[in-house]
Amino acid sequence: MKLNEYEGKAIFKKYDISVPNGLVISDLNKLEEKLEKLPINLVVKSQILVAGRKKAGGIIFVDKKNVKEVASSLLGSKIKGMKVEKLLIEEKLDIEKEFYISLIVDRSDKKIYLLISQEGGVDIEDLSKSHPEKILKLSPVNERHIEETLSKLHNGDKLALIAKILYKIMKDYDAELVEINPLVESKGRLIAADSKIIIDDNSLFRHPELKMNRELTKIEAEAAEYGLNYVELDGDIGVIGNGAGLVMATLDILDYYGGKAANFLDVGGGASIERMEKALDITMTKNPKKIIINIFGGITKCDEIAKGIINFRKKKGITIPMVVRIIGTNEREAKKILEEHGIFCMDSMEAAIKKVVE
Amino acid sequence: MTILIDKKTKVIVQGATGHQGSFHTKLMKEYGTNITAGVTPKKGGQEVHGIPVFNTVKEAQDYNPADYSILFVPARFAKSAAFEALDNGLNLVIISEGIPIHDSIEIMNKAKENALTVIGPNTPGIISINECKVGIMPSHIFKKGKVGIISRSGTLTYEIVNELSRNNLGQSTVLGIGGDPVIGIDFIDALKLFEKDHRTEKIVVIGEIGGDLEERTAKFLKDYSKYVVVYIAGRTAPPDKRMGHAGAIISAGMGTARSKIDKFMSVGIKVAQLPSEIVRLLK
Repeated sequence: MKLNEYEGKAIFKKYDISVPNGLVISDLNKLEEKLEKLPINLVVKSQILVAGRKKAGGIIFVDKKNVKEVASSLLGSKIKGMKVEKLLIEEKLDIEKEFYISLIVDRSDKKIYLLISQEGGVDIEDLSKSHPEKILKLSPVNERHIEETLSKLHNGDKLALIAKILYKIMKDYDAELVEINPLVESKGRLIAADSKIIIDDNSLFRHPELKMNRELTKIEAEAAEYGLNYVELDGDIGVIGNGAGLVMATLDILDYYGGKAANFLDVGGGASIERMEKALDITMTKNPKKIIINIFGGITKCDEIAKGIINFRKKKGITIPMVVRIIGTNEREAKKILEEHGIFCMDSMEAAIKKVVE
Repeated sequence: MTILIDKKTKVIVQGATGHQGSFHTKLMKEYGTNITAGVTPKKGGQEVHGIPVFNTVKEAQDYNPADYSILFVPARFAKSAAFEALDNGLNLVIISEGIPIHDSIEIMNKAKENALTVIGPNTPGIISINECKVGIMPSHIFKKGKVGIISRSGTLTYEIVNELSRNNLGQSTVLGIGGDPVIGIDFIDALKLFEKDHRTEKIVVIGEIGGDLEERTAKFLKDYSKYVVVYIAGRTAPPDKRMGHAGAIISAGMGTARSKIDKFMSVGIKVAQLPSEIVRLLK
């Protein structure tokens, strides 16, 4: 789960990392009053969870007298498809130098690394390709080693301290990424001009204070409550299956035969009748023209899936065309139930997917 | 021969008295796996399908030392259960899904210090056909043979195994490495083991979007002695969306199926576009 910039900065502040003076607004109420303590030169930053906000027009430098106009144009607007509901208004910093600093999880080494560069403000992915030697990669565990290595750099002591704090934040919040880019040197101080924190979704149970699922659409959040993995897509064929890999493959095969998926829905292992009904309910919110159901029953009992399908159709009186590919545990019972209700069943996954596209 | 597990492998089950743990203890035992004991704190003295249950891994190891432990404990308790197994010299198969990433990092580092193998987390486990199953996969789809399989996914693996078996392409060992970002044994480790395994002639690698494991695997396969076929799921997955598995996400443009497929093709490895093509490419 990504945190918004202002939330990340609130955490930085709590841990004594300097952030620019500023405030968060969600409407224009008493704006002039709120701005009193801020200087003349300001920056207005849309609080949305997308990259490249500046290029997309979501970050605007302004004079104090123009803030209201800029803020009212940004609030409620859509940037890269995301609605702007909050703005962070901050003092504009006098930038002397920009650093990059982050802590990342390295999947292949199964370790956390500290990345530091004296060339902040740029896209670090690009820099790592063009000038990998300009990025220092250190283990954050050995503080002494960090202090020594950084002591050779300009502002090394301060960087070492910030590195230490970021590592603590990463552990305290179960983050998979903590990044400051740029970390700005301004009048002798190091100030976090931006923040990027991603919390590990699997650790959210340890952090009930963080509100969950804000990157999800309303329906995606509802699906999550029922233990369904659901992602909205923009085609017209509903896709339901069991197992993430199997459903991903189903989408790919659908595309191969010229179909377009309306969604990705993984009912998980051992889905009950109720869970299957809910899966169909959620799939129908995208108004698909047809639905393909792809079940390879192991722990999942095919007859439960079949009963879920029939219950859903009966309760909702829905007669949308469906192709059901169902094999595995209790397959025979499942096919009997479905065929009695006139629903077409197939054994081959690829043939079934081809069929639904026809 | 097989890799990692065989007829002689002895296994304990952590979380044996739970619903899933007990169900799969029965199925693994029926498959012929030598299950020596179950472990559930405070449930010592009970039996699960004729297998004695102990409070701690240590007691279970004192009773009859095993090689592997399979974990069915809830994600939030997985780290302490895994540590207990690793402290007692056991390799691990972690079935549990949803383990915090920092917990997984600690588990993997401890395993490395103790020179033990971890399979998973978020894996269906491992099966050496007709010898031993330490996992939850439906046994009846497998057929003994010479194809080794390594996969990041569960059901998709069953799908592909089923197709292989129906086409008379039996398997030696089938290994799920898990769908999480931080996992134990990976494609490269498993490929090294398969290379030395005389009974395995060809290998299928089933990858998916997210991370750079497939890219690193492609690099490793440049100088590999056995025939490998690859399938990658998620060609049509949108960026920044987690596709079911915690590790299956394209972020900052990294981890796309395209990038992975291109890397494999650049070193001359065959990549199946459809799952059914795997059978054709193996024949």
